Amino acid sequence: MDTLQSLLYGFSVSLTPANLLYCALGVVLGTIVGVLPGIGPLGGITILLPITFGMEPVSAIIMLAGIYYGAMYGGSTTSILVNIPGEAASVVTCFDGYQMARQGRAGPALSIAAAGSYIAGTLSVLGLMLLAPMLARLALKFGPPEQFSLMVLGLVILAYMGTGSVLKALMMIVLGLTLAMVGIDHLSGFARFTHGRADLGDGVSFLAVAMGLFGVAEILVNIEKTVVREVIKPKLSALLPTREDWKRSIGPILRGSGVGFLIGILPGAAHIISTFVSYAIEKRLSRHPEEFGTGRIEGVAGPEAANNAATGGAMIPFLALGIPSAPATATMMVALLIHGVKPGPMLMEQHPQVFWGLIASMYIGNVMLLILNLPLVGLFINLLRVPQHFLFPGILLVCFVGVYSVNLSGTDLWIMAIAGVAGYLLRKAAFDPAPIVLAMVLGPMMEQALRQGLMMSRGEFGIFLSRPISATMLAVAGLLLVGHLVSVIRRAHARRGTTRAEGMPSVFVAKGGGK
Amino acid sequence: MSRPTRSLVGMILALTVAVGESMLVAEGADFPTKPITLVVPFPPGGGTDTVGRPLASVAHQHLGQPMVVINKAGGSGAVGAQFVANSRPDGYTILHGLNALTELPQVDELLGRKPAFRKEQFIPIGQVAVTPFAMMVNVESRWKTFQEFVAEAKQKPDEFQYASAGVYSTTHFMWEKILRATGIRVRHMPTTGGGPIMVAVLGNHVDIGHCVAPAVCAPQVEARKVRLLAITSETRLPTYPDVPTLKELGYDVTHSIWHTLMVPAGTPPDVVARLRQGLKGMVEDEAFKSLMTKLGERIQYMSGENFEKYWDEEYRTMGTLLRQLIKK
Repeated sequence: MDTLQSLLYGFSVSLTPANLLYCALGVVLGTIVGVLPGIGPLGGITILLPITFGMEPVSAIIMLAGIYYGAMYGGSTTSILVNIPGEAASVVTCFDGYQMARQGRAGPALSIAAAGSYIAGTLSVLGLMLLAPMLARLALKFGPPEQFSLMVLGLVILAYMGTGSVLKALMMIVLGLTLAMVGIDHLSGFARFTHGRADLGDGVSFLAVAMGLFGVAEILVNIEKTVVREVIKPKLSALLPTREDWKRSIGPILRGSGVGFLIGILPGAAHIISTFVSYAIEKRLSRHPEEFGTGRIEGVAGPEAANNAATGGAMIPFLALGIPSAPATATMMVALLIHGVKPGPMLMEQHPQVFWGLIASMYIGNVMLLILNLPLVGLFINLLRVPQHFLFPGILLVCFVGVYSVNLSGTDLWIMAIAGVAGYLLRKAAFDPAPIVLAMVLGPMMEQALRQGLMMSRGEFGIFLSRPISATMLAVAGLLLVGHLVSVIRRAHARRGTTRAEGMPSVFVAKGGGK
Repeated sequence: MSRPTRSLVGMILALTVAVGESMLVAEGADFPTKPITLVVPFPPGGGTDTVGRPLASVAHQHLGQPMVVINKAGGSGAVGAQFVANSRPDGYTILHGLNALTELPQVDELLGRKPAFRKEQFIPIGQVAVTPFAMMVNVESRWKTFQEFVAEAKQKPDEFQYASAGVYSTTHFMWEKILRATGIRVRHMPTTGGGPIMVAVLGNHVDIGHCVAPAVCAPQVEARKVRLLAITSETRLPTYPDVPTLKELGYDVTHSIWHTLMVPAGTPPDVVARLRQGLKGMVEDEAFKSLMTKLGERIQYMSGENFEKYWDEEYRTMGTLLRQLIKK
C-alpha cells in the first residue's frame, strides 16, 4: 500500500508537462544512439550532461535514464536488418534476427524485439521498485570469488550456445581470451603485448573488434555476390508477428526478463552477458535447438528482453547503494550529485521525489518507446530496399565514425579493419565469430576476479569452493560440462551401435582394433 | 550524380574548407577564436569528470569561447596525456592533468618502459581543485579509530588487506606512504577504481579502504554504512570536523589528487598568459563555485607559476618513493 502511494506520488512528479517532455527527449535520443553502431548510451548521456546542470534534479535523471534504457530498444534494429550490432548488447540478436530478415521476416523480428523490450523494461522497473534494497545487499555479496565463478559459468554457457561445432566455439573462445590479454595488467601494472604503444594500454577495443567481425566482415561476404533483393512492398500484416510467433516468444521474453534483471544487478558487462545467457537458456529449453541460428524468433525475443531488463537491474546498485557499476550509471550519478542529490541508501528518504519520479517516468518511458518503435519498424524496413552499392558504403561509414567517436583513436580503426578481414576468413571456414567478442568481455573480468580471490585467500584455491554462492555456480558449470560429455559419449555409442548392426565397422571400431 | 547528391557533396566540401580556414585563422593573435577542447584522460562519470565538466561549463564567460570536454581514457590517464602532449601547441587542446603526470613517467622509466609522455612536455595553466581521500572501514569493523587499526596491524603483520584503485595508481602510492609512516604491513588488493573499493569495503571483502572525500564517502557515511578513520589532507574537512588528519595523528603523510589544466610545451607565451588569466576568472566564478560545493569538491586555486614550483618539488619526492618501491 505504501509502495502504491509512493508510486502515485511518483507519477504526479513525472506527469508534469516538462518532465514528460524530458522523458520523451531522453527516450528518442536513446533510440537514436541505440540504432547507430558505435555510439552507445554513454555517449548520449555525456553529451547531454552539461545541459542538466540547470535543470531540476528529477528532470535531469528522468532524461538521462531515458537515454540509457532507450538505447537498448534501438540496438536490435541494425542487428536484425544488416547483421551489425547497434550496441554491444545486441551481438546475440544478430544470430537469429538477421536470418529472419533474410527470410523476409524482418518485420516480425523487429516488432517482437520492441514488444519484448517493452515487457522486460516494465517488469524490471517493477522489480527495481519492489526489490531494490534487498537485491542491493545481494550485489555486495559478490566479491571476487563469486565474480570468478560467475564468469566460469558464463564461459561454459558460451561454449554451449554456439550454432555449430563445440570445438570450433572453444577455439574462438580461446582466441577471444588471448586478445583480452593485451593491455596493462591492472593487478601488476605490467604492460602485456602492447609493443610499447600507449593506445594499446587499455587493450584491444572490444567494440572495434565486434564492428569488424560483424559489420565489415558482413559487407565483405556480401560484395562477393550480387544479390537481386526481392523487395516486397511490406503489408502491415507482414510486419507484425503472427499468433504463432507470439506463442513461441512469450516464454523467452519472461525468462529473459528475469535473467536480465538479476544479472543486471551484478557489476561488469551485465547487458552483454545477460543476452547470451538468455540465448543459451532458450536454446536449451527448445525442442529444436538445432534450428537456433537459422531464424528462430525465440533467439531474438529472449536476448532482447534480457538486455532491457538488465538496465533496470543495473539501476539498483546505483540508486540503492550509490555505487555505479558502469560508466553510464556513473555519469547519471554525476548529474544527481551536481544537484546535491546523493544516490545511495538514503535516497528514498531524503529525495523521494527523485526516486519515485524516476521510477514512474520509467514506466511512462517504456510505453513511449513502444509507441515510438513499432511505427519505426515500417520505416527501418525500407533500409533493406536501398541498393547495395549505396547501403554498404553507408554502413562502413557509420561503423568507422561510430568506432572512432568512442576513443578518438586511429588505432581502433585499424583494429576494426583487421578484424573485418579476419571475420571474413573465419566465415569462409565456417567459424562463428561471436564467442571471440563475448570472451573478450569476460576474459579480463575473470582473470582479475581469480587473482583478487587468490589474494584474499593468500593463494588458497579453496576460497572458490568454501563460499556458498561461488560453489553453487561452479557446481552448475561442472554439471553442464559433465552433462555435455555424457551426451557426446552416448551419441558416439549410439552411432557405434547402429553401424555395428549394419555390419559395417565404424571408424571408432577400426581404430580400436588397430590398437 | 543526381542533383541532391551533388548538392550534398558541395555542402560537405564547403564545410571542410570552412573548418580548414578557421584552423588557419586560429594561429593569429586574438586567442581564442574557436572552441577549446578539454581532454579528460578518464572515462565519463569518474572523479576527473566531476571537476572538468563544471569548469568547462563556465569557460565561455571568461575566455569568450566555449570549452568542450572530451574523454580520452586509458592507461591510468596515459593515453589522454600523450594525446595532448603530442597535439598542436596552440592553446586549443588542454589536458585535465592529475597526479598521474608525476607518477606514470617515472614508473615507466623504473620499469624500463618508454614513457608515453614526459613532464617537460607540459606547461601548467593553473591548479583548479584538490581532492583528498578518507580512510574508511565497514561500519561493523571493530576499529573505531585509525590508531586502533594501526595498533592491531602492528601486532599482526600481513594479516589485513587494503584495497587500492590499481597497481601504480595514485592511491597505491598513498597507501605505500602510509604504510611507511606507520611502520605496519598490510596486504594490497588492487581493484579498478573507487566503486569497486566501496563494494569491497561494504561487502567485507577487504579490511580497510579509502574513498574520495567527501564526494564519494558522503552517501555511505550518512547511511551509516562506513566509518571514516582519517583524512589525508593538510587540515580537517569542513564536512567532517570530527575526522582527524593523518598529520594530527602523528603520521607525516598528506596525499591529494590535484586537478591542473595543462597545455603542450611550445604554446606561445601570450596564449598561456591569456589562458591563465581566463582560468583565474573561471575558478572565481560563482556558478562554478556553487556546482563544486554541491559536488563536495574543494576549489583550491594555484597560479600556473606557483604550480610549476610545487610540481618540481612533488616530482622529486615522489621519485624517491617510487625508486624505493619499485627497485626493492
